[in-house]
Amino acid sequence: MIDNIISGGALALTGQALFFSFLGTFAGVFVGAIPGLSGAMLIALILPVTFYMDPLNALTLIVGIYVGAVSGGLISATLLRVPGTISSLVTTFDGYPLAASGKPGRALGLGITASLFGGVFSWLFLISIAEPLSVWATRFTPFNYFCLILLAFMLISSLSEGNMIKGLISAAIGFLLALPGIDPSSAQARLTFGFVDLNSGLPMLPFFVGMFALGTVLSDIATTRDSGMPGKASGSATSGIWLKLADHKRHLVNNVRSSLVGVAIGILPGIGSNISSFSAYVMAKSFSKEPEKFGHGSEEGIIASEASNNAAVGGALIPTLAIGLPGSFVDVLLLAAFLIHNIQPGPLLFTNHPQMVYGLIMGYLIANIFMFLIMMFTIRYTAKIIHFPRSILFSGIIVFSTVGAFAMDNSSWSLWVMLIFGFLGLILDLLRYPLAPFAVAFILGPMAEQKLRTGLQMTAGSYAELYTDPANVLLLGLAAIFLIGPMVKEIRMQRRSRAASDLKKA
Amino acid sequence: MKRRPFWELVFSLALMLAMVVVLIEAGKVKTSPFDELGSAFFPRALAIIIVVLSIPVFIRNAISILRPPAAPETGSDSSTPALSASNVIKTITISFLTIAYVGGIALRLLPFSVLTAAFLTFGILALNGWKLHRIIWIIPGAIIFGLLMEYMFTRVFIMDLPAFQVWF
Repeated sequence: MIDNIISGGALALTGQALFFSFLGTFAGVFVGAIPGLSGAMLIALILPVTFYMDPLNALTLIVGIYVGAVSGGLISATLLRVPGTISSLVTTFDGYPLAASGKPGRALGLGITASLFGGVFSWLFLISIAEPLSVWATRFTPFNYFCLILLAFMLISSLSEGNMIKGLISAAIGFLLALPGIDPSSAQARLTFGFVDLNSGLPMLPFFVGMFALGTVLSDIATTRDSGMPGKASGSATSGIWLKLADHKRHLVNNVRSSLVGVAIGILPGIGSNISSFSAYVMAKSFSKEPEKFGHGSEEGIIASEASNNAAVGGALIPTLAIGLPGSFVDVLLLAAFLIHNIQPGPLLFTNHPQMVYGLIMGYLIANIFMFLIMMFTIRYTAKIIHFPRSILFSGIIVFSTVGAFAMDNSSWSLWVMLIFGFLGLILDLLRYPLAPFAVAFILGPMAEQKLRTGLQMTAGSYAELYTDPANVLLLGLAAIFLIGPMVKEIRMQRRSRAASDLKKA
Repeated sequence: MKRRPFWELVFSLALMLAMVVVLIEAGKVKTSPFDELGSAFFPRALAIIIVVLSIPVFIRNAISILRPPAAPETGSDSSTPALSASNVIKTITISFLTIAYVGGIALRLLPFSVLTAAFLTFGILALNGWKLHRIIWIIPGAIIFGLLMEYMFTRVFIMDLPAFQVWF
């Protein structure tokens, strides 16, 4: 393991890998800082380009974007009270009030430093847990895998947007859309409706580019307010940005606690950094000696949000690399990048491509360091980019989406697929059907089917292992809890609101 | 900040109808005695799940339409962004422009640079609320961008996009 870490580190420190890591982080910070654009959108756009690149360079580029985008969101959250990315929403609660009180540099400095802390903290977990977890995962039976994927579907459907039924529908549609084509088990065409183009299934790249680049842009155009930004903090964005040693000491416990929350939530399959920042914020408030300051420019609030959302990135990479289950929405795109390069994600990744995986893990650490340096030294300019005209950005993204979808196989079929999924993404987004379960199911659905069918072949058609193996029972039990729990909660809430309205009438 | 019960109802209904089509299509798949589940199992199961889950969405929205709630609703749906008329017009315009742009490339109607320049000009103008005085810098910028993109994608990346030199 140590040898692989050293050789992976050496690969990550080559000129090319460093260049792509820097480029990705730089682009990620800028994209994250601009409200309406997201890291997922940029990764979806860049995926076709990675096809021409060395796998490690491609992966370090993507991880750089991922880290940069999660961190860059804090700039507009702090200076404009508009979260650049959904994961920095919680940062607006205290980042903006502190910035508005004449301390924008201090607010940004706290957020950027906490982001670095969270990123490095989660890297320590990533490098120490991922390989042992992958070794353990090689013992998984096909039924174990099937149950684990089922649990991932339930988790992401129940927690992604708060509407369980819509989350499940979204996951089921994503799963269903992954099925057309020649079934690899039986060599039969299914759900092709007579279209020859569908024999090889829906092309992955145009699907992702359509859903997450075109669809998001159209949705942003539909929902962006005309009245402009809600606020603008005054003062220098660089004054007080560097924290003193006493500040680091004072916020150490909060940093560690929030990073732990981020890693723990990030590890859960399919759940991203937005939930972790909420959880860490609530926890920081409950442990704080000054809870009344939360929401009014509390430094602890900014640190909790930023440390946890960056830590969740590293946490989410753990199941992605060790088991092949995406830890977050963006990790789905990372898995797609693996597949584009014919690298099968899963427990054997550490056995078959150890140097590349450790190169990627070291690249994650490097991206965090780059993120810190880029944000600290370019904040003066980054703070201005958030006002870049949306009209140019959105039109440009549509052009690049079109070229990106076409790039993979130079076929017009890919363009139509991109267009259809762009509009489907718009409709789902406007009707509040979460896109994360859709994307996760599109990638993991066929794997779930294949594992269940392999399991049944191995047991001569017996389902007994599903209810006799304790691991399966545990996973299915958890899946049932995540299925029933939110429904019970919703029924209770409805009863309460009904009771309240009855009381009002009386 | 309201839900869109009518459109949610329409979508759930469309989804249910689409699943009926999926069920019919899945019925055409032959079963094999050597395969316990068969190729049609998951398509069928998922179609049924989607129909079953769409029913409560349909009923809930039908009730909302027939008996609109007096008080504003709570829950996750309350965060649904409001759609202003100008945003709807912009979205529809950009959607049509995108269809025309993608269709133009797919059907190879015009060179990529021309289509891109036209799309950028009209797209930026539409998103800016048709402020025509900006056309002075938008048109030259879009033409330069279109030509550069065509050169890069057809000459550097050797992509089979409809290129200018083929037409002229």
